[in-house]
Amino acid sequence: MSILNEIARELLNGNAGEVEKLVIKALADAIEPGTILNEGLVSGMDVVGRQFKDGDLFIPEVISSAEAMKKGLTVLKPKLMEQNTKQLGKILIGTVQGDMHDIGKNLVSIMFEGAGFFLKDIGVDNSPEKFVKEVEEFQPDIVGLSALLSTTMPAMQRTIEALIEAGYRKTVKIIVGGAPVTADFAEKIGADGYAGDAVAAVDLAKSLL
Amino acid sequence: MRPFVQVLSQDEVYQVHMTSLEILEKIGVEVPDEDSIRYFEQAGAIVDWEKKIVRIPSQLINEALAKCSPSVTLYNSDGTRAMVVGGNNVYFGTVGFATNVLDWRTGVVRDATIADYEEMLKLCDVLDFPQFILPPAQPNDVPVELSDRYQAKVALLTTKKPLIPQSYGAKETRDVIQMAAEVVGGIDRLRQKPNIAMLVTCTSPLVVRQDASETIIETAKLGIPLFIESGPMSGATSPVTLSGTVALANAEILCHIVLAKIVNPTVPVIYASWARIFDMRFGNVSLGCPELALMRVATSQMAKYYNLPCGGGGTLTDANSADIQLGYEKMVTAVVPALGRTNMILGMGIIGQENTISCECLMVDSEIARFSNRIINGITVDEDRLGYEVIEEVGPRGTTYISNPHTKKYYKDELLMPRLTDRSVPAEWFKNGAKNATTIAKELVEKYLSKYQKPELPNNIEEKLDAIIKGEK
Repeated sequence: MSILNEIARELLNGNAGEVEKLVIKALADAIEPGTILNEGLVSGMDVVGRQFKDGDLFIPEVISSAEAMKKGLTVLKPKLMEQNTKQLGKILIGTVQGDMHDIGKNLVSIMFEGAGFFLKDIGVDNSPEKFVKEVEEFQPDIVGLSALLSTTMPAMQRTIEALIEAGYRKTVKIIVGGAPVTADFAEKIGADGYAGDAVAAVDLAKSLL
Repeated sequence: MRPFVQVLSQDEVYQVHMTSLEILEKIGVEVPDEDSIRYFEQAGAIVDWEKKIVRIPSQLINEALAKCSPSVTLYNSDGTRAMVVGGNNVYFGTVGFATNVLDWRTGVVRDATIADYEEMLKLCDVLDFPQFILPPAQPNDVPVELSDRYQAKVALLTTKKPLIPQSYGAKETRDVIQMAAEVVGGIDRLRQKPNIAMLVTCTSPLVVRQDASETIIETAKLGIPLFIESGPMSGATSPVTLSGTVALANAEILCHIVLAKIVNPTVPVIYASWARIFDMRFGNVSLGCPELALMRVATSQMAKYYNLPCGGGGTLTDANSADIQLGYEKMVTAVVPALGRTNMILGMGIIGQENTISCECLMVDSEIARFSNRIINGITVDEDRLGYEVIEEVGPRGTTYISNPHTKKYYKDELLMPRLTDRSVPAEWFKNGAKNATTIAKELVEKYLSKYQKPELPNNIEEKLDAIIKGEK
């Protein structure tokens, strides 16, 4: 089995330590960092995503795989930067005002980091003003809004309105998610996309960039 | 014998108990409310003011439990005794704060309104099950910040059955209690014959939320019963292991009880749990799962170990429609906790975890509650029922059981009369329109709603309650 296939296999099995070792070895074998990323790590994560969708793999395994991915990326990142390989993008994520729920958001954050995004998670109960301030400072490509209560969904709309008013709407893509949120609602409030689970969120983010 | 089920041995109960004590004494709970921290500190808890962490020595727990009563009696708003919550008694009720309704007339799922909420409560008032109400819906057509008081108002005006209201903070708690007092004839009367127990929910893991603190303090000061529930989700807000979840839930409920008893040693408390799981495929909470049934029995065993009245979630489903999944999930999460002698089982009328209320599903749930009730009433054994004389009379190859006076004497007591359940032979069933349970349920909803009668209430009560909501009283 080629070392790239081995990386993908160990990633699928959630063995972070093995993935790290194999990535280091692959670099030592003079394989291109971009190739290690795409044919080793990303290809492994694609299988994880597919198996999760099919109901053959579950959240705890997805999390271990995402953490193995993260470990591999930590080794690769400096090499990718050296070669000016395009970074995947910056994501700002948070739960909206009045809402304290974060389990889903935390899962999505792990998946985004595992996918290679540079992520800032601002936690729960964030006012529209807080989101604007964070967008100003962090300058993300994507802003992710999470809500679990149907009563806090209006805060998503208010957050988008605040970003429009502050002049940041055109510089970011806004995606929304959470149990009561729907694609219709996302469209209604002017978001750029909606995803129903963490794996779909990563696909959505990639498609928007 | 009345059948019952246990899932923990005495040793296992004790192990859970010891784990909970250690959690409270060594890890502690986060308590954002400073008044509460002061109460805990004055009673002897160890407080880290900077991190707002309170560690509770076992002694405080023992002291609190020593002040508790093994049963709490709740009344109808007319002062008649409704439920003796304790021992082996089992009662079924509604739950939820759902924001959606499955409209039984149109089949459409839409936002729940005050009118939907009121209609559901009318049906609840007419039926034998549910026996108590926790507001099933959070109507969308009232201001969110006033919703707790509107839920209480409509419930108090629509049904006389006991109520488990929620309140968002100290003032709101006083308002809701005042509303109940107006209905029953004053705060002293309410204290003596309470038709409410204030709801307190814990945030897992190990947080005494600000509004929970405020509700406990205000309710305890007024001497009104408290319904304290903790509902960790295995794998998300507690260990994925069921025993770990039970130990954590137990610790959380105990620390809220400790606070209540520090504020007022005589305040009645009910120990309740919503321990459930986080589904690892759907990334969502699951309520209709077999694990909920197991943990409900376990948390009820813990309550009984402490000699406390108990309650919690049951009769629940993850199904989003009135279908077969609803049937099997609701049945198992109703009858198993009932066999575990959970005194107050909350879940009737709600589907899709706690997202959607449904009158037709309430009808199904009332049948499920009746089935469960029949199961826990078991088999009565006595000389007459053993029926030696009637067996002798009918004799070998005899055919006269059906007409025997013994049968007429006992059949209504022994056999549950089906209300929603169809038992026709196939030919009859097809002839009568091949109706399934949902169709029959809707017919029964219409029938029972037409029997609803408003309870007798004091004059001008609606104005008085509105005045409290508007802050004019």
